[in-house]
Amino acid sequence: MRIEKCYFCSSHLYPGHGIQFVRNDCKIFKFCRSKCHRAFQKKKNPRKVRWTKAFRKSAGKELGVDPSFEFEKRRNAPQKYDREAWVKTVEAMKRIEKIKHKRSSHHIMQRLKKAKVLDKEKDIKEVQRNLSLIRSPAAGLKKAQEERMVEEIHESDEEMMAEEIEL
Amino acid sequence: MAAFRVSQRFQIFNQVHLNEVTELFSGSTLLDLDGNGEDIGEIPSVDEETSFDSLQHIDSDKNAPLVPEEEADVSGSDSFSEAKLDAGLMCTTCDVKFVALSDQRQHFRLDWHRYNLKRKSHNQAPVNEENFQEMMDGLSSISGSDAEDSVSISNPLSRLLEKVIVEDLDEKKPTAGSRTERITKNYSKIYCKTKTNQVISFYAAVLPPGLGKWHRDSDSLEKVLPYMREVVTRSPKVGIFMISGGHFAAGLFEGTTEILHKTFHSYTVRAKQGGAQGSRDAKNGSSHPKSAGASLRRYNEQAFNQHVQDLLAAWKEKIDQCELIFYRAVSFNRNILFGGQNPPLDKSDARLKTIPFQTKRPTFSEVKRVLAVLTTIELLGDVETFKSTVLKQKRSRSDAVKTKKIIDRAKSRSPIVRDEPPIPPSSPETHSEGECELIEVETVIDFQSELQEYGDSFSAQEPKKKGSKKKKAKTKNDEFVKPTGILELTLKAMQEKNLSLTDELITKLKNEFPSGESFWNQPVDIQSLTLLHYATKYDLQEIVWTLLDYGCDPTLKDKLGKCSYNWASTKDCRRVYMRFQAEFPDKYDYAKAQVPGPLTKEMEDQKAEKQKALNKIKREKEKMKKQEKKEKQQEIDEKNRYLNLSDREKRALAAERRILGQAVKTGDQKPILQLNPPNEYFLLNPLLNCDHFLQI
Amino acid sequence: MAVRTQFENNNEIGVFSKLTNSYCLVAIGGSANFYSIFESELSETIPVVHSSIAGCRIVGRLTVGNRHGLIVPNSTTDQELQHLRNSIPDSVKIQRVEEKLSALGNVVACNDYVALVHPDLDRETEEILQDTLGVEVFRQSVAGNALVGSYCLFTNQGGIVHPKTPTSEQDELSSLLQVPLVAGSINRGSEVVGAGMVANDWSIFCGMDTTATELSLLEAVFRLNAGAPLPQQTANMRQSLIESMS
Repeated sequence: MRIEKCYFCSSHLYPGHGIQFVRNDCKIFKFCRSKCHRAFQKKKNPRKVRWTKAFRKSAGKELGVDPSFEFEKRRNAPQKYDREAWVKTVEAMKRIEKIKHKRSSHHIMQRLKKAKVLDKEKDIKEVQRNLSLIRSPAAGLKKAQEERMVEEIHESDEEMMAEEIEL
Repeated sequence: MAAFRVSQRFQIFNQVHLNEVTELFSGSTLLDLDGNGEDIGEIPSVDEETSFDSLQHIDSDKNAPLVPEEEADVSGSDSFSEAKLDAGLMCTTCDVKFVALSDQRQHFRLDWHRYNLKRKSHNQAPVNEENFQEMMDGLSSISGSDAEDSVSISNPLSRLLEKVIVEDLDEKKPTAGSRTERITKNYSKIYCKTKTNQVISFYAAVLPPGLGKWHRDSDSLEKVLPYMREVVTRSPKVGIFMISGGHFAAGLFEGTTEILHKTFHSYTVRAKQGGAQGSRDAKNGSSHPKSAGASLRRYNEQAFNQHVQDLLAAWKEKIDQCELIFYRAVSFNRNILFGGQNPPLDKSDARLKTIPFQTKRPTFSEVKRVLAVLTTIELLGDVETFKSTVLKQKRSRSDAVKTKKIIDRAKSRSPIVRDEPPIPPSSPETHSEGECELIEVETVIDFQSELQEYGDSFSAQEPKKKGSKKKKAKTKNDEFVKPTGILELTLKAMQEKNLSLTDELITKLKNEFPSGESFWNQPVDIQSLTLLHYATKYDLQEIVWTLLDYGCDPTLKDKLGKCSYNWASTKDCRRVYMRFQAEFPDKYDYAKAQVPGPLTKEMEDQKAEKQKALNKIKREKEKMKKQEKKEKQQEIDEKNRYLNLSDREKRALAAERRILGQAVKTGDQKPILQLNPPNEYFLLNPLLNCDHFLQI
Repeated sequence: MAVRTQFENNNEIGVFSKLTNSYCLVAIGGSANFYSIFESELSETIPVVHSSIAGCRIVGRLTVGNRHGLIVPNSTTDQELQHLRNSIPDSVKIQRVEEKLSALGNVVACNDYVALVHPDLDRETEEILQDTLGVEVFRQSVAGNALVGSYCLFTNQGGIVHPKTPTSEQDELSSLLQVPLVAGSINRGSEVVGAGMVANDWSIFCGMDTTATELSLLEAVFRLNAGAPLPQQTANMRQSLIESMS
């Protein structure tokens, strides 16, 4: 039996499960559960609903475009049965599954890495914006004033000294 | 149920039908359907056969009996031979004949043929090639307000096919309640009787002010027909105004030609709930919604009114010249025309009339349709059948009303005998609606970029929301390179069909891009048409040849999935491709380019020769026919002569025959005997017959 | 050879079987009678295959094919497709199409060179028809019916169309298809000639109800009487016959 995919959330649809809707232009829609069916009836776009595979792929959250997806497709021209080819295919399926898994996890890791960089940038920005919370700008002002005071005292001292010398 | 049909239509206000219409009205009288079926005025005797009958050349329903049965065919197919195969070189759907088989085969691939097939299945007459081209062109430049909510780029053919169905539905809808019933109810029409005892009808609304209410006012009765006789000789000015749901359409016509017209649309109607913003505001007293949409609509409504009033003010002079003004403006839309401080139209104006039938959304084409319907005279068959059907209908209806009143619910009732419902025509509406759906989808989806991503679980172009439309259009724009410089000039020259200029420009392009195959094959337009497509579309045969020579790939398809060959509208242009294939058979994949086959010089010559031969055969056939006619005439003469003979002479002839007959019996003399005609013999033995028939 | 047969008391043979010059599909039925008739007639030359399409027995109406290929509708399951591939000769291409008009046998009529199709068929399907079956495709209707596959049937030798086809249309079609056509009925007056019988270049199977007249017409138009003298000879014979009578 063919294991179909849900039209809405792209999950697997095993024989005896789900519901199927045939539109009057002959297009068949299959749904895995009433949740998906109802969402479809409400004319929700699966690309805009956040919990669907379609959304995750179109938003770049998961691996969307990859040659590894090419292998699993509905084919309209059959191939003659050949035991060797069949065995080979089964072997290949396992391998492809592994590669696919690797690639998608790599994709996710790449995204996480990128997120780290972005997070850091964001943090730095936030710190800079709210620096006043860490170090009061007034603190700096006080010090500067003191220094100025000291200088003035120095100056006045020197003046006094000069006066004294004149005297 | 004896429903009668409109056998013919004429346009008054149109000089084309002038003679026919004058003929119809000369000596016609009005028909009274209200009373007991007596005519007003006298019935002229039906003694002369006027030219009127000869006018009925179009039979609107083509239910011509399909006689040929199995046996009949067997005898007919007897003479099946090479000559007969040639006789089949035609297309009965499109009503064209061909010279060669290849022409016929080509024809069956054309969109034109496909369109006519569709029309045929809806019992509509075929259109000829020029008209079809015009229709296609008209569709491609469709105005925004006219286009329904279809996708912006869709196949013009599929839209045309849809149109067939829509027209068909329009024609069928009224028949739901039986045409006769509708007519008896419909007092907006006037029924007349012609000299030849035929019924014609037209809308009372086309009569001048004061004559319209003819059936209540018998004084104005006599004036109707003289007016109609007079009005067909000139082209009166007519104005038509239609307003509904934020759509406005208006047209001023002189006869049937338009002088001025204008349509526009603004967003005033609330989506889903319906109704204009203004009417909702009025309903709910002081609670005016403050949403952005509501205020937008409120503003638009005002602007729309202003716009209409400005327009009418600008047209005032022309409107004043109009003899008749038709309008369709329901409820609050009326205020736009007649309200305000200085209303654009005067309510009490006698020329003002409402449109006496249903109309669709106001567009210019709808305005034109309204005019056409208003100025149409319908021919409804002869008086007796018309009356009998109409009166029967009326009587049965009034009976029904009576019985309804005396129903006593306490008593048991006998079951009501009803007429059987009319059997719907062969193609039911629902069916054609279904077809409607099919044709819509014909956008080409780029497999690589769109489908691949989601495998079979999800089709990328599936649900479309209104908001996403704009985005899509934008991305599509990005796909082609906007032509600039010489390329742009070339396209322009092609559009103007300026052959020499195009040629020059293309050689220039060739010099500039000496070896750029990709350059020649790049799409230059949203529909991803290439230069070759353009050249073919505008029928520049020399250019097509040069482009093919330079490496323009004819296998490339546009967004509609059409190769450049399919854009060719003329036979000559198609031949260019075939000739090119003959000369360079290996240059392109011609099967993929949908070019049917190579065409060498010899083949063309052969074709011409064949045509000549055909013509010759035709001439000979005609000659034969003439001769046959002559012989027949002679026979008739002979017969007449025999009839004119005296009794004695006749007896003498009979005796002669008897002598001959005796000779047969004795068998010593060869009799002059008629054999069974071969056809009859074959008919008895189909096996033999078919063998003969199979010798080709 | 012309043979009369029945599928579970039903005369519409063309519905439950598909016959071409290189293979024969037969529906899976309750009794083996139907299958064995085909088997006895054809098994020496071409494979006779038990099959179903989308779990249905109406294989003849759902599929279209000729010597070069077989086209099955979208609803065909993977197993069925695989079964067909394994039992039909390798030279025959098999293709599944995504077409709205899924009863392909009703909307397409073809021989090894040309095909008549329903006016509304998809352009894409038309191309697949050209590629897989190697035919030239023409959109046409027969006697006002768009279902060309139901109302006409033709092989490379000849063909039969709806009994009410006007002569002009017959001429047109036979010129287009380049095979002689006659109008005729099947199964004692049934109009659906395409659904009532199957034929290839050397054999015919039709319903049990088919009359002798109908059968003789079929044999003649599909040129099955190979043992009979050549048409040329019969013509000569006939001429001499007429001469002797006169």
